[in-house]
Amino acid sequence: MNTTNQAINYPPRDKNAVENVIELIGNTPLIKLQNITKDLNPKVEIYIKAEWFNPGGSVKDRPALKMILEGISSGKLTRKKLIMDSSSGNTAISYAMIGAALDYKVEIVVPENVNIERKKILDAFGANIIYSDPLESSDGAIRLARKLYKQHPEKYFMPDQYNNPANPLAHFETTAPEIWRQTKGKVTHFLAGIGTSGTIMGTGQGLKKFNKDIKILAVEPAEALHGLEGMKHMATSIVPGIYNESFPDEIINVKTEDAYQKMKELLDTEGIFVGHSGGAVMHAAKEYAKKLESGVLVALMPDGGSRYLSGGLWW
Amino acid sequence: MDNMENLNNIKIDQRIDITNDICPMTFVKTKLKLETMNAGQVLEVTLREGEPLSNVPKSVKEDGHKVVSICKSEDVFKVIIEKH
Repeated sequence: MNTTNQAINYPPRDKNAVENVIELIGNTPLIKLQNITKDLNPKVEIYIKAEWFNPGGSVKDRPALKMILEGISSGKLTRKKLIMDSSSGNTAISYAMIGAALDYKVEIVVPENVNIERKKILDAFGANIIYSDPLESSDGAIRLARKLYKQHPEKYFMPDQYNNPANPLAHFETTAPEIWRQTKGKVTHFLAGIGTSGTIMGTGQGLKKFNKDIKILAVEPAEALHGLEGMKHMATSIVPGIYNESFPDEIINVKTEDAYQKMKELLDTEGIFVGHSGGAVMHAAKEYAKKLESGVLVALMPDGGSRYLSGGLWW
Repeated sequence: MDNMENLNNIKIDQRIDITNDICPMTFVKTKLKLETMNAGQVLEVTLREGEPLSNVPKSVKEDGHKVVSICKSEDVFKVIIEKH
């Protein structure tokens, strides 16, 4: 009796039921870091946007959903077509999940060296996987997807995440207003990695609509050969059509080992397990914050660390 | 509104509520629901005014379905669609 009453008196935290898993995409939590920030000026706060809370496990659910919905609504994606695109992994998983949820078949081109977690998840969602040359990395997957599409345009709906304006638009419409609301308009700096550049371009432009003084900081791997899955070293990569390199206020280069180190620090000091690119963005946020006297930094963490376990934990 | 009709005689086969959705989810949900229905069946879509009201009936017509009526019901609108 007593326990029942206690349960009833608990403040309600549950959301309304949804009718499809894709309705849970977005509205991810914002977490204020408490320990990793201790040596900073007390007026400097760092928050992380926890994108691994998306049902597909990464930030890529947002653009994948927007691109697929645009495809259905414009009539470009019909029931006779397969959803086909290249991805370094996370977008592929988002397509596979959304495809399964809406009953569309999905075919994905990924570099053959994509890790076993991603392969198994794609397989579990029933996606057809085509492997591209591992030595050519995500650019090889882009080229192979374009070739497949050219051969059979009637067979495929290719969202083309590197060139589709719906990719940054998803962030402009969802990620940016969420951050603005969650920080009650106090955000001063936004940091995200560059892969397709959809996150930095869309969220950045969205935030600048709220307050043009918000600084947009793009994070890039320091080396051409890096271990930061999903991120692009622009100088040596196919530059995405949606990217405008003069848009970010600053570009911060991060070394792979510094990124891995920050992953470990987030685990140890905050109990938060982010992926490689999240480690890179966190490293950039911390280094940048050291120079500030005050500020509210929001660093976007694209995915969680459990997607990288097979790489071995090196600490 | 001149396209309002008395709906009492129309038999509704399926209903969906898209008042909490934003574009393009609004039309996609309507379209996917219609895909599961048979030709001649009737769908009632509850939606908000503004973007959903201006776009959903238009897109449904472009897909070849018949918009039988649109009528206001308190704060929302009910769109009656006959599947092609």
